[in-house]
Amino acid sequence: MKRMIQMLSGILFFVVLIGCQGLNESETGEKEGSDDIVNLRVLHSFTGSQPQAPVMEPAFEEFDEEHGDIELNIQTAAGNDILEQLRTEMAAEDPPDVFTHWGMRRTENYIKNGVIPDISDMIESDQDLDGLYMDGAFGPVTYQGGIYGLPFQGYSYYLMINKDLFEEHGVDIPTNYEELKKAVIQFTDVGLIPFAANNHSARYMLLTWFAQKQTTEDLRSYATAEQEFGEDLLLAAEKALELAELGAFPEGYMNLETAQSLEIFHAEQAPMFYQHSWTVGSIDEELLDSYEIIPFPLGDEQSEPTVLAGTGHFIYMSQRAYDDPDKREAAWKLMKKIAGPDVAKGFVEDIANNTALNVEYDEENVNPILNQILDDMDNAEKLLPSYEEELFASAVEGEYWPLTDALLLGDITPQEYVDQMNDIVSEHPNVQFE
Amino acid sequence: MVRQRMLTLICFIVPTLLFYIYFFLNPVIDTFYNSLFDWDGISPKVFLFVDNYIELFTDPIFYKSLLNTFYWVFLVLVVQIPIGFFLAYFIYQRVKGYKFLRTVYFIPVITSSVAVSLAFSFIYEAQFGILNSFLKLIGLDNLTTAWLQDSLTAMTAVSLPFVWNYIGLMMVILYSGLQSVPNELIEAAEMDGVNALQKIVYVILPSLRNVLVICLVLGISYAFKQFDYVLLLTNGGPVHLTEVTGTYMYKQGFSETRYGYGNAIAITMMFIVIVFTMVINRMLQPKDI
Repeated sequence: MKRMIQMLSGILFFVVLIGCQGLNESETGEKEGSDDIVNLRVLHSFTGSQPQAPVMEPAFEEFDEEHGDIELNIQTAAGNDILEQLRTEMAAEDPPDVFTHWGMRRTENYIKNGVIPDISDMIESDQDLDGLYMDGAFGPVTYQGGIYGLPFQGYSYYLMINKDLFEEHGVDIPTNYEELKKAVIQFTDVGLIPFAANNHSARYMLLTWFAQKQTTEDLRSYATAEQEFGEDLLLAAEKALELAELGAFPEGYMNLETAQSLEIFHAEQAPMFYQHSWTVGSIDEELLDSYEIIPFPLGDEQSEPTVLAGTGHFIYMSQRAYDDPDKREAAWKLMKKIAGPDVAKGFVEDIANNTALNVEYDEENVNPILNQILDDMDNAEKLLPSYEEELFASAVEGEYWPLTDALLLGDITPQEYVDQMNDIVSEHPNVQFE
Repeated sequence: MVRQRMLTLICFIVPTLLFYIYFFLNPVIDTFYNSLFDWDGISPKVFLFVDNYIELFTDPIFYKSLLNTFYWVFLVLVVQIPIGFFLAYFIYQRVKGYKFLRTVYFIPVITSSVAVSLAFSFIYEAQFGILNSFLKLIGLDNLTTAWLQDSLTAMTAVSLPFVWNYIGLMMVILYSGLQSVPNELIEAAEMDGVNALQKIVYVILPSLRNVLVICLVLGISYAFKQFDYVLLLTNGGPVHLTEVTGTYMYKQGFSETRYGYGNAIAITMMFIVIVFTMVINRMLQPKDI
């Protein structure tokens, strides 16, 4: 018995020893000559069923194959999951070398704490980037004079209608709020849900009516608390609330996922859809003939046709990668690849997404809805950034979303909404322009 | 000899004790320590002493979430444990196929909360959901609603998966308790002429007192710990209508990056659960266990 125990202990010790032994390079899949190889840990959110995954994932793989001297260790956290993933890694002082994220609204804290470096000098000294990006593309990653990331994905809000449903029910396509209200009543009378919307869509509508009376400078002055919200926000809030009370949105719209709201539109239960442009790639292509992009109805006589658009996603390197010259160079190459023309072309042609780059593409290869959205942007009298994509300080977002939900549910009045918005913004003003 | 025995005992105790200190006491102390700071996980910590707790006790959303959590505790008391008991008693009667039924009743306990939430979201979905479709089919259109958004139904709707999920666990615990009730006691009661209800109320339930205490403590601590169903079904919304302390703590800690405040919520929750447990233990003094 004693001998058997000794034998078993010996075997166990041997197994543990083998288990603890490090893998050799061929087993880890590392590239040859690994002494000269720069390892980059990358975190991105474009995986799984994310519409951008078909372009982003191959782009990272392609970069890995093209660069024998750089080894990418890719981590993914789909969609909004990247928020918690990145926060946890940053808190653990173990940031990824390169990562994708939204603009200042979600990176402000990292920038303030010096974990994301200012890359203005790198951008200025790199001639490849001259004229590559759209005007204002760096706005959301410009913080107190520094630039902290490279833009790759654009956004715009778009109003899509189902022409067939408008024709079938004899409803005129609305050009202003009064006509929209009339259309909403007509559609509810025939048992249709006027807007295939969730709470995001309702918030976008409110923001658009507000922006129709503003300039970029106005929007900034409210976000920085130089000016208080007043009559314009009140009128916009009243319109959004009135639509909610008229039954313009589906039952349970507060809890609807954006993809679910699009399904209501696909199922022809709703004739209108106002959303963020990342959804364009998910539109059912078999139904495209019935769909059309129209300008968002004007709020009143003082309103001007306005499209809310800008840049929404960026690629960053961490300060730790920046401090290591080899990693900095490798990270910069990767950032340029992801925020470069090939990926941008893929965004427009393959996945029907807006890009932040001035890139050539073949219109025939582009989803007709995206073509209409891009035309709409080109022809817009005013192209303004969205508050929630670009201008609100990151601390505002956590309070502004539930506050707008409270307005839409009738828990607070439009005037209370305006007052509380002023309180939130004055407590957390945007300081990026200082 | 005594000293050698002591040494052996210590050798057995120390690893477990170290494990307990490192994996249980250390996080609790760390949580309490961090609750005294304003910290976003990245910036330097700012010592606030009890300011997080003062803010917490004046935070209306915390009270709302606490009230919703108490509603879960209420459901544990009036729905989960009673149904668990009746299922256990049903199986205890050795009805035909009771082993199969025992497994079926226990399946929800081992089902992933993500899968359960997904199933319930299909049931509750306002436009195409099973529940509303069924109500329309039988002509009760007037009862259809957005179950997870309507202020009258949202909290109950989001609670049902949690209640359903743990009924099987309560059943198993109570079933094991029922098996330990002496047959002689039941036979004596039957000879005295008790009916079925009297048998349960006067014989079985008093015999299960200690097991019921375990069920209560487990149910209450689960009610305070659970947050995945709320997070997956409503994310605490709309406008904190379905917020529970677990989701509020998670959001403050991980979404709002207020780790100090999130830790203060965690410590307060722990304190409440301890008080609850002590009260239950005091009220239903265990005798045999």
